[in-house]
Amino acid sequence: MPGLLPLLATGVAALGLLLILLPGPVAVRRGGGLVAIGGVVWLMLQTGAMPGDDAVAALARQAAFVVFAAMSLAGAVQMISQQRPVYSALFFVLVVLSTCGVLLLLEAWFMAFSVVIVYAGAILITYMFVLMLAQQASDADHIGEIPEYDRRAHEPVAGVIVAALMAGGLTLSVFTGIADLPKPADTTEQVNATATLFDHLPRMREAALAKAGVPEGTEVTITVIDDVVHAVGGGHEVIIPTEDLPGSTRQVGWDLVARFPASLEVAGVVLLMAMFGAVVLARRQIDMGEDALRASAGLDVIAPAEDEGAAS
Amino acid sequence: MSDLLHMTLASAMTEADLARFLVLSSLLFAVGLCGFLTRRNLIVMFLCTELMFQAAVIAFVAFGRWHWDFSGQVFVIFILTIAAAEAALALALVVLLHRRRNTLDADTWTELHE
Repeated sequence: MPGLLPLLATGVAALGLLLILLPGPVAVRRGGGLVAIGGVVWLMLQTGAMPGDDAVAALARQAAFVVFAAMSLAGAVQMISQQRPVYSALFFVLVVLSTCGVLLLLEAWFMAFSVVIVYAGAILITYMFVLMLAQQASDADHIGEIPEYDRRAHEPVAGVIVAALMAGGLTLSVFTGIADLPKPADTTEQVNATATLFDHLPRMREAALAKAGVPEGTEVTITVIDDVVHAVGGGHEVIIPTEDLPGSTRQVGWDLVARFPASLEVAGVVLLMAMFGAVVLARRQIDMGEDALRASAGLDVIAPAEDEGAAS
Repeated sequence: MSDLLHMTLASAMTEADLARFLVLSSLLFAVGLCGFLTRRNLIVMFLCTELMFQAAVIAFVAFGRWHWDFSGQVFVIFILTIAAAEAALALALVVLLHRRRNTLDADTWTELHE
């Protein structure tokens, strides 16, 4: 049965996480960390046993992936087991940075850096501000004391069981369902898609043609011959090198504005609404009576008799 | 060396590659879920939802790379938008709740479910 071993590995990792979260001596929690690492390594080794990985060229990529994956998982576990929320936030920065390493391995250059800027830069700073605001001790005797709700995990057994079921279900569907996916885009499809986009970008096209030595004004068509992009026409046939073709950032930009323009507008509206909402919510609310409100607006105070008359 | 470190334009992803990214994504998601269920500090709970967003980001980009379809990455841009909006609103709410009860403990608000 193909899905049994991944489930077992997930169970081992969950057991380690449970040992970390349960209140107990430091040695037990360290041992739990080792068990969790062992489970995750076992799970990752099983992905290596799947077909279609030619060993040598993928080795460096695999090594980088293992480093980033280990960093992000260790950071995530530290994040949920740290007692001080500030450390949790800092470990989340570690998770974000190692996630960006993973995105770089997936050639998502733009996404990797925008995730760093938006998450590690903007969102985490907001969290830090609120943490600092909320962590002020209630009186001088309790400075630096960790409150009880941060010291002990709440229902660790139930939490880990739910998380293990989730992880088990997800990894099981990965291991059993990946064979049913449509085939990955092969070289030909990737080069064809890139050539089509290249044909749509006039400035880039002109620059590449000028660099390849095609005189300006020559009518050329972009074709793909043997997985290499060529410009053919007017007696010329030149190869467009890979560095002159649109990279992944340009493809994302093209998709964003050409395929999803309405969603882009909606995203802008969502951000604006969130900004208004945050301002309205976080404003210090002072309860003012009706009379005080009218006075602050420069209106005359309504006489009580007049008020009753208006109500009836 | 740089050729070894990343897949070149002309290479297809293997099943092993995709499985590795997806397994990492599901483990990160599960850890985030576990944190959301076991922590009682409101701010850390929201941090755990951000962790689950990160897991989703990895899965989206990995599937986008598999199909050579960049809408996966476009979706990540929208995830970033929603995460930013959520952080602003949720933290404003947390500040409001903290002002009322002077604690970040989620358990002080249990009477809300009655």
